[in-house]
Amino acid sequence: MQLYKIIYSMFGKLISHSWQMMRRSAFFEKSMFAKGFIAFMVFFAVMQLFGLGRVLPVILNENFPDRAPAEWVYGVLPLILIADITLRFFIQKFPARHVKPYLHMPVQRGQLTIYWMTRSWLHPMNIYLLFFFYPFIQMTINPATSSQEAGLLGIFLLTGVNHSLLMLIWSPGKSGKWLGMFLLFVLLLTGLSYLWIPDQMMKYSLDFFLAFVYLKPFAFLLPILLITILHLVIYKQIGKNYYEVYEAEEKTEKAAEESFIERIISNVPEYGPYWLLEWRLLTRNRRTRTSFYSYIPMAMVYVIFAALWIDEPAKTSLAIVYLIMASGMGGLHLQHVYSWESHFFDFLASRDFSFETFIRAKYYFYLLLSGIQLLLVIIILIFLNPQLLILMTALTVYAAGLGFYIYFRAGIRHSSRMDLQAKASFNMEGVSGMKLLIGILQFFILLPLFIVGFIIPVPFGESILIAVVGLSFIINHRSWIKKLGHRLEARKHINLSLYREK
Amino acid sequence: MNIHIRQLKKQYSGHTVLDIPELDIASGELLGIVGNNGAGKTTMLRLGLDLIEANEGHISIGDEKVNEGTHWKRHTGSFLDEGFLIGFLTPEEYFYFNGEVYGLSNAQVDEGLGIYKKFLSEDILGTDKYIRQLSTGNKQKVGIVAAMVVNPSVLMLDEPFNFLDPSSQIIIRNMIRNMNKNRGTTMLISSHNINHLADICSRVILLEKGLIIKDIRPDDTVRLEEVEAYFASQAG
Repeated sequence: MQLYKIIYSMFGKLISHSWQMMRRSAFFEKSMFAKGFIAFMVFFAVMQLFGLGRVLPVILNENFPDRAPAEWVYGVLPLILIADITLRFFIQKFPARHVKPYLHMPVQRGQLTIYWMTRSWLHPMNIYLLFFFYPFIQMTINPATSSQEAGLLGIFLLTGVNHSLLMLIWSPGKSGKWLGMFLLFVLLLTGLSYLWIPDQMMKYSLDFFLAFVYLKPFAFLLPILLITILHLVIYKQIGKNYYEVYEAEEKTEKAAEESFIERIISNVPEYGPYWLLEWRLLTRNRRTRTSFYSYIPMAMVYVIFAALWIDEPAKTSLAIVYLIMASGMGGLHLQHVYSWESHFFDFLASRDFSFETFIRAKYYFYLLLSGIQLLLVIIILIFLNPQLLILMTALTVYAAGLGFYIYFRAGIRHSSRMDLQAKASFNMEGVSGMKLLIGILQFFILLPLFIVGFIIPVPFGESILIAVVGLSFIINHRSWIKKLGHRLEARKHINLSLYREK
Repeated sequence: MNIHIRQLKKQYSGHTVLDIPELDIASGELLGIVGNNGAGKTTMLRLGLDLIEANEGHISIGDEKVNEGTHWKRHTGSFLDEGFLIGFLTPEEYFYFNGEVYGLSNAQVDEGLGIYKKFLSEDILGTDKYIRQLSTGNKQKVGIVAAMVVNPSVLMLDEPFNFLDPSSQIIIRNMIRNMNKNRGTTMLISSHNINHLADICSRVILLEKGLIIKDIRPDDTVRLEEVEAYFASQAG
């Protein structure tokens, strides 16, 4: 009993630290406006999911009357789970840094492991799907004959298996990873089976979900058993591999070698050294690397989704979401323009260094990336949905013109020293309310352009108008970059003092 | 409490970063570890705290091998780097939590902190700042005090003089000396600075590329000069 009390007390303390960590995160140090805006965006995202769950049955009924909406959605649960785990790969990491400060203390490692595993469950990725399924289940499951709550619990358990699977793969150590990879392979195989036997797969998936709502014990037992087994493996694996938390730091990083791409970049006339610096900044730091390598593939996945599913009336929302993708390099890099350099801004500021050339080189670098992204988009759309080609091209041009200009302009006032090794995804560190507002200007500007473009009697009017706006900024880039160079030079001392303060 | 090192070897990708066949640190000894960057000082301390795994051999604190039990942790205070701190706590909250895991009440922690009040400047206590908001030097102070305030029998500090202003360096030297003298705490202190260590340590080992190349008593001035000459020769 005494031992239980000690364990419980320490575990409770650790969990309370989790709460403090969240409550005292940098997010709450932002201005009221930024907090309000971010809270609104979260609320908006939740409402989007909620709304989708509410209207999807109606849409499916109208467009695919041969099957009930429930069959469509519950019939593709494995595919939903594959999409879910893919998303988790980018967003969810094993919370290793949470236990590091306790490792040298006289805290039982077993307790730490349990805390570690419990802590990993406190992640929005474990509930976001419920916001979609809650209304969808209400619309599709009859409460008189079955349990809606059980259906929701079933979804939670299934995504819980995904969570456990990912935690096993991300947790320190290798021994249990084979099990994780095997289960992942089984999940992917299940998804691929839809290509060969779609009707049977939909039936199996539907039957399995119905087993939840009809309260069949085996339906619950299966995911619970899987979650339990996976957690036991994780527990054992972590216990054996605590050293990895520190050893990862001790291991000498692979010696930096000049890669083929670096050799090409360094030979670019005039901008070579700047591009090489940008490339190394992006590829040699955790945070920049994660976003750099994930954004173009994410944009491509979205384009495929849009090409297959989005119809004419949904064009505006498509445009806004794609714009986030198209200017992804902006969202995750240019949003923090010059802030990545905040760690060596003193170096830049103390050398004979032209900020104008520096910004221009940076702009050309991201323009090139946008070009690569556009090329891939064009290839995808030629095969899947050529009708969207003009709009997508226009949006990419718009993002690379006006969008990038706005990010570069907002970046001048950047004042936070960014942590290049912090968690990459959805990290709003250093984004003040004003910067955020300036950053989203490009989305607000897009809406009137859509309206005007719709009114003018020219085919693809809105796309042409959007492209013209973007193109005008691309053509005039030398002029606005020159002004921004002067502004950054003039603000150099303020930024430097703010970097040092924070 | 004694510390014994036997056949200790640490390798990364086949490259040996620490190789100590035998080292005994007597109870109450104040051992300084000096060496250039990459000499293996931090690795040695991390192995001593069981934060990384030895490829061969072991370190014992008292009668317990550090990788086979955790009892030694109750008697060992340590601060190696910022990773030891919990950034979202205030210094007071951190001291209390740290005291709690060592079995001390808040009142005992407060009493202990009294000794270090001069060291913990006004910028640290009672400011309602989180640890992550403190300057590097002040973080260093919080970590060092947290390691000392639990009255450990063994204390391990990595580069404790770094980031500190000259006055604080003198205070911490006195703190270490007093703790060692009054409580008989066994101490392992690493530093780049031979003079700091020579001033307070009863023994200094010189690490180079993972090997102990000299083991000296600082009162032996001739041999201290030898160490300085060694570093001078390394500097070319």
